[in-house]
Amino acid sequence: MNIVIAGGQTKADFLISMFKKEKHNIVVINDSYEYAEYLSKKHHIDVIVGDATSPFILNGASIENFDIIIAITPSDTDNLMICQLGKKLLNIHKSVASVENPKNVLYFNSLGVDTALSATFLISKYIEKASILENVTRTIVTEFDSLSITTITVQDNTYVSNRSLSEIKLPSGISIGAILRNDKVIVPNGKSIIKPDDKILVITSSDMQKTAINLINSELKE
Amino acid sequence: MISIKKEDNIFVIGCSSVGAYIGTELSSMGYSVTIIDKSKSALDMLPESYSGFKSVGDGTDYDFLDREGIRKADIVIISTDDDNVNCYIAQYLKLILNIPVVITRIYDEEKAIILKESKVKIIYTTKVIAKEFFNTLSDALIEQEIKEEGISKK
Repeated sequence: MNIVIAGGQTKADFLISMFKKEKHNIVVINDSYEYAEYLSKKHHIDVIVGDATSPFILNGASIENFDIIIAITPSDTDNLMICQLGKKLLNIHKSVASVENPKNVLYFNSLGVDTALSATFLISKYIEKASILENVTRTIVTEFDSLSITTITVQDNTYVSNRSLSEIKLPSGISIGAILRNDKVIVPNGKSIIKPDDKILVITSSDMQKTAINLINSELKE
Repeated sequence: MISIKKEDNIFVIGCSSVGAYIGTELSSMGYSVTIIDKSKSALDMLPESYSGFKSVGDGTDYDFLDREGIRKADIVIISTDDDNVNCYIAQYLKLILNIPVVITRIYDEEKAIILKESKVKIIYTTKVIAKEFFNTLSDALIEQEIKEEGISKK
């Protein structure tokens, strides 16, 4: 593949080693003369010294129709510019940006950046996943802040287990959208019975999420 | 020319010399203006005749813009001295928040390709100044010619 790496220091260094090993064709652009020299000597490659957000530099880099442009400068605004110029000016097929502000993951996607990666975003995802093991609940992240979708693995002897939806009587604002049982999806009606080990998809407004999780995991009082 | 409505809420992001000038003009015309800049000293340089709001903060920080009430803006003028920052803010305001009028300045004309289908209005700083230079130059040359004609007639 033909890959452009724009900006970045340690990140660029690491990616160059990796892509060289895989025998990809790489073009590296870096605005620090000293770092460009270091990269060039270490990896035996040519490095273009210049600002990768400048159309003049990009046009001179002979990277039209490349497969991927990777923007890893420390600045989100610069990375967006690099990715968008890559696509619109140079017709590069895919763009990847590292972002500081986790909100930019979704925002950059909607502006045509194929992949936006944020360390903070990934850490928060990781912690959410880790919490599956403890609470058997997981929040599905959507772009709507006011909506929350949670999957909960139903435990035995809880408020919902072995009862039908009409028996459970969920408070308004909490709804069970689907039951996942042995890889099958059941769209429930009032007669559907929830069993232990089912995964249920709980849809609530964000302010009701905690109430819903607590209710569903609470012990059934006979 | 379509005029700005009195009740329109105007924001200027970037208190550069241009931003400061536009903001001051609009406020003296009686419009509600908020000028945002990340440096307090830039805002301190605003003339006393400026009667609008001043706010210190980063125009690329979504939460800060939200707190400043940017969602209620009718017109936003983006005038920081960094093209990349201007394009970033402009796209956020126009494409994500859907603000009615977003105007930005850009030095490097080639970068404007990324705003092509966005409905962001663009002022090409370099082009505008170059045009002014040519106008002034041709005026000066005409003046010179008239002078020389006058001399030769004598």
